Parts: sequence; C-alpha cells; structure tokens
Amino acid sequence: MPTVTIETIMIRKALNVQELAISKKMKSDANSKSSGLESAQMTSLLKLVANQDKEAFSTLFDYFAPRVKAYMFKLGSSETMAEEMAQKTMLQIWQKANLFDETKAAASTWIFRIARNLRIDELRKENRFEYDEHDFALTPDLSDNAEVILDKAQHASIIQKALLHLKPEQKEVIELSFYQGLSHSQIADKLVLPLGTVKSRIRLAFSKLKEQVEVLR
Amino acid sequence: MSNIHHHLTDTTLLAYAAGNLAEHMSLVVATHLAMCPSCRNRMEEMEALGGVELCASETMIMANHSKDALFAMLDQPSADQKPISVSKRPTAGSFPYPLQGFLPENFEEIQWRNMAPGIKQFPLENIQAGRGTIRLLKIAPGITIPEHGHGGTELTLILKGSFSDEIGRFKPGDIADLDEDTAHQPIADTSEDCICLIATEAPLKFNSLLPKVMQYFVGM
Repeated sequence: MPTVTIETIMIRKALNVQELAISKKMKSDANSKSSGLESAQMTSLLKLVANQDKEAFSTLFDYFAPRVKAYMFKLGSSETMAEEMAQKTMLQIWQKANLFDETKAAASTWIFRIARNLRIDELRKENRFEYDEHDFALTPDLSDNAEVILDKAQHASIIQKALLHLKPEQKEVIELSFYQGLSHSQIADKLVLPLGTVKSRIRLAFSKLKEQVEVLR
Repeated sequence: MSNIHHHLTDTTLLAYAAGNLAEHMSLVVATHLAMCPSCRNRMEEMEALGGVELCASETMIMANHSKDALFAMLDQPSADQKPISVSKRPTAGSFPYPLQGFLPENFEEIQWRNMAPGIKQFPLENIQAGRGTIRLLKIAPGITIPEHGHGGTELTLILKGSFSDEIGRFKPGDIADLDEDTAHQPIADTSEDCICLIATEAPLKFNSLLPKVMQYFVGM
C-alpha cells in the first residue's frame, strides 16, 4: 500500500520543480554527460520509489535505463539483450527499493550493484559470492579510526570530482575494468602493455583517488 | 586492531567489484572480505566508483514502448521478493558465509583426501572453476608445497594455522594474492596443520619432475 506522508509530498514538490528543469536540460544537451541527476536527488527519488511513487520511478528510468543499457551493450550483449537487461534492472529497482539504505550506499552504487549482479547471473550464468553482513562469523570493523561516512550520496559526488584528477591512462584502466569487463591481463593485451604496467596503473589510480577524496572531504 | 596483514591487491578487488572475476575466485574473495574490514571498505569504495562510472556512461536509447511495457509490470507481485530484514544466521561452525555453503560445519568433519606426503586436499564441489581449481589444502607442520608457478592469479586464504613463504608469514584471515609470475613455496611453520583455501585461474604448474608425476595421479 503506498503511503503518502507529508515528507513524501514535500520531497515531491521540490523534485517536481527540479524534474522540469532536468527534463528540459536533458533534451537540450542529450550528449552531455554532466547533465542530469545529482547524487542527493537520486537518493530522494529512490526513497520515493520505496513508497511506490511512479513519477519518481519514471525519472529514475529516464536517467538510468539508457545508461544500464549502454553498460550491458559495452560488456558484450546484443542490443536486444542489453535492452532486456536494462528493463530487468529497472524492475529490480522498483521491487527492492524498500531495501535501499542511504547510510550504506549512494543510490548510484546500489543501482550499479543490481546491474552488475544481473550481468553475472544472466549473461555469464555464474554465481556472485558475497559476504553476508548479518553473518555471525563476519569480522566486525572495530578500528578506532573507522570513519563512518553516513552521507554516501555526498561521498559519491566527491568521488566524481576526485576522478577528474586522475591521469588519462589511470582513468582508462578503470573504465576498461568496469565498462568492458576486462581483467588486468586482458587490458594488458588490449593496450599492448606489460602486465606489471597495468597493475601499477590500477594501484596508482586508487591511491590518487584516495588522496583526492581526502582533500575534497 | 586488525590481525590481518596480507590483503587483496587493488587489481583483484577491482576485478571483483567490477564483476569480472570467475565464480570460484569470487568465493575466495568474498570469504576474505567476511574476515577483513579494511578490504571490505576498499571494495565498497570501488563499488561507489562503479556507480559514479555508471552515471558518467554514454546512454543508449531505450525502445519506444519499453517504459510502458515496464510500467505495466509494476503492479504485479514479484515472485522472489527478499525479506526486508535478513535474520542473523545461527552460530555456525568455523567458516564465514559464503564458504559455509561448501563445507561441513567444522574442520573436524572435512573428508580429506591424500595428495602428497604431508598434504591433504578437499576439492570444492558445485562450483564453476573453468580451467582453474579450487580446494582446501591441509599442510602438516614443516611441510612445503612444492615450488610451482600458476597461469593467472592464485588466491590462498589461510583458515587455520599458518604458513611462511618468500613474502612473509600468513595467519588465519590473511590472503596471498599472487599473479602468474610469482613462483612461491609456502611452508607450514607451526606445530599445527595449516588449512587454507586455494583458488587458481589456471592449472598449477609444478617446476620439478616428482610433483609433476604426482600432479598426474592426484588430478591437480
């Protein structure tokens, strides 16, 4: 049963104004990667979807379905299959939005995981093994300096800005991993580089990212 | 203070976060993650990066009626809705999830098979490994695994006891994440058996003749 709380009405009001602005922008610069939803907006929309808000879901669909389709296509499926996988991803978002916890992940992270896991399950027909955070046998994080980042949405925005500081060759290895599904030895083959070079680029990319994230926080 | 001193490489974690690791390798990674908070944190950062990359991606236009078709499905109940709260598992034996699913409750119940003097094995079943391998190894005190190279990555997760090799000392929770170029000779270095979970992307290549003969007989 959808519940319309005062919070929902207020979020929706704010988003309606934004949505108009967003949709205008997306039509005019359809190819611009920088247009579209901010991380915090995605979180708000996902929370509305948890309350079965179809308008919010429509906005998320417009943003994510074409991106997930491109993701699946770049990873090697046919356009038809990519389309189907994007649909399945969006359907899972609708069905599982009530499980989304904004203190644990940004909306884009959560959605990425769904797309990635669907790819493994349906395209590769493999299991993806994951730890269970509710497992008694899980070793808890007891470190004194465990800085709990509660604003995962903002953290995603910070990562986005930090990425701008990577060298092109460092960005490239990350993109090839996520968006062509290449292992480091496949990347080495594709770029005609020694394996060691690829591995150190990956290491440097993450160390640079970590450094920049600290600066931007 | 974590007791873990040997961690997954950025390369392996990235492959896992991006969904590029083979099934049997991801089992070892996930089991180590259950034991290692710092690798979990690094992995979550990489998934966050995956999400950012997804947003920055090019777009591919969806077919005309796909949105309508999807919306028509929204009101149908979903067949396999996961419960909202995952109840805690009862205190199991010695292994974290997901490894738990492949082994008996505890170490004592494992049906070991002889592999070589001082070395027993327990190959995992019901898991896809391609050309690679995944098994538990039990190494008696003072015994060395013969020198071997391995095509592709080899992951060795210590579950009990410890071993030392050219890199250092490995104890429960530690993981040796080695690429294809590294030949190593782990030796069980205390008075108890060392039990570890080993996965390779390719068959093991032993460097001397006797292990090669053994390899043929024990089907490594």
